[in-house]
Amino acid sequence: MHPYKHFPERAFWNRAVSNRHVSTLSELFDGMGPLARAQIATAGSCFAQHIGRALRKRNLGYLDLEPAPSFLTPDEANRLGYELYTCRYGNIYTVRQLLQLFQEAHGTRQPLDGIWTTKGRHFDALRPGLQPDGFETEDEVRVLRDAHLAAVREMFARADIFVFTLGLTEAWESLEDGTVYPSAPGVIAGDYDPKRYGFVNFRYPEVYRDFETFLHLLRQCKPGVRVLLTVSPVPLAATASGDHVLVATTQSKATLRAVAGDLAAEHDDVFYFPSYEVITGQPTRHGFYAPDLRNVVQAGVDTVMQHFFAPEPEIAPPAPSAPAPPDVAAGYEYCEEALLGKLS
Amino acid sequence: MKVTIFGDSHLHTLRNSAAELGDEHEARFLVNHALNWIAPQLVAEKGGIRARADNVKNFTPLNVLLLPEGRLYFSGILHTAPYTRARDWRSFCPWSIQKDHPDLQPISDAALQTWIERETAARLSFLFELRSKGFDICVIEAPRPLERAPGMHDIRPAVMARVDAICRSFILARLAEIGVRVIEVPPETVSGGFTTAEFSSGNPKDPHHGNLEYGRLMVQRIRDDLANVA
Repeated sequence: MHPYKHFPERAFWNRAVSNRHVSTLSELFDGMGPLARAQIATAGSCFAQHIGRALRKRNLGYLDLEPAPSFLTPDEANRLGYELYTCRYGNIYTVRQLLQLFQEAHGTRQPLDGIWTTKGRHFDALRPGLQPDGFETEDEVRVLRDAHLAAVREMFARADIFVFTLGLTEAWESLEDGTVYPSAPGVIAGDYDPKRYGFVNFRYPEVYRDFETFLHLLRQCKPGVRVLLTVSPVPLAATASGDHVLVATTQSKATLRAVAGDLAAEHDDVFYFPSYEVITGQPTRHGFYAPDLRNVVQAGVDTVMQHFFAPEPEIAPPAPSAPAPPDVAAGYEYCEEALLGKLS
Repeated sequence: MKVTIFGDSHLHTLRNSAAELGDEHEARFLVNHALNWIAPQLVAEKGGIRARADNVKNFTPLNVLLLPEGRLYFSGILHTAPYTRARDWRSFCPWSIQKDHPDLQPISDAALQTWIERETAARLSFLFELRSKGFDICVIEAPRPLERAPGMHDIRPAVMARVDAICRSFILARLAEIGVRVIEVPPETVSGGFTTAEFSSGNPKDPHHGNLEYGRLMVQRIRDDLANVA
């Protein structure tokens, strides 16, 4: 007699992993209760874009609170930050950024340095990739940000399920008021001044505490809300930590993975979906990465979504369409962080 | 001087007043459906350019030879109705007037310009091609939206007027970049960003054409252009 005797197959590496092909892995995700009829919002690091797309394709209750005008083509809309997430916040890489967005939307926080100007064009520093060429006036940035924050408030008030993908622990912040930016000043817009901006690498206690604070505020907006956490499998494009980028990536992802797991263990309304394990785990032998070993290929995304919907087989898969051309970097063309990899 | 006036249906009202160009000018009108002028096939022929298109069912295909003789006037790129009448404007508005329309979702100028850029690219390329082949080419601006147009399309007048202004400003800037002059709408036909009823088509179902008087004023502006830039 031993304590593992009655454990299911999935508890044993040999039976659940070693002797299976990656496509036959199962029971990775227990689900989070019914998805049908729920209003679902998505946010986070770029990998979260895939979840939103999959929900749309299956005609689930995906919230799109800043829809694109119909005169834009899908590519144009994406380039302008539409249809990537529930609202046009762009990528939210850190939990601190998410918390600050919530606070700003509800009027309890106002970034002191929220507009960056480069070559006469103005950028929303909290979503600098929103419009690649920037805006003509600061007024335009402000009007669009005010409307955006109204949409964010509505999202937190309406979403039955909030999906958030944890992306990074590293960030750049304002030394003046602690505002955390999704992109280092100078990469897309703005200008790096070490007297005004500082590097921060959030550690486990800070990430956990920030999310707990956010969760507390979110529940006040929408009692009964369920939260689904995932961790982005996309490695850091660059690190400012001083470590090798591979080491820094492991540190960052391990922190985020541990926070996500502990939050799910602590709270009945928080769930963890293992997209990180599906992509990075040994069964794939890194076959779901593009040749750059950073971007995830479409087959990986498809496999992730199969596991996501596996607990609810009654949700029909999207109707097959004409085969798409091979896409070795599905969805990552709108990833500000990737720009770091192009810096010289 | 040989004068070729070619393009979309806005030219019908001008043709009626062609005599006002004066005896010293030999005018030729080549009018076809606006959709045939969006991206015609261009073929070099006899020192000129033949333009062909057949985009409209049950409509005479476009098949004209444009020659670099005299001066040419094109109507078809400053027609803003496709942009101003989009159903999107029932739920969106340009950011610059959102304060007065807080229930509408603001969009950036760049979003609107992205659309216009795509829609006008082929026509700008066409005009650039004519310029580079030595054609003396000008563009004729189409009338501002008629006063009745917002009501016909359930779009707020201020929104339609602002969209129209953004579109025209953007296209005018692009035309200036490729060195194409523009014959602008007669200012007396416009009030509050719209073509007044006095100069609007008599057909109550028509949201964008001018009337014969509008056409007469436009022909006078072309005549002035011919006199001033000889």
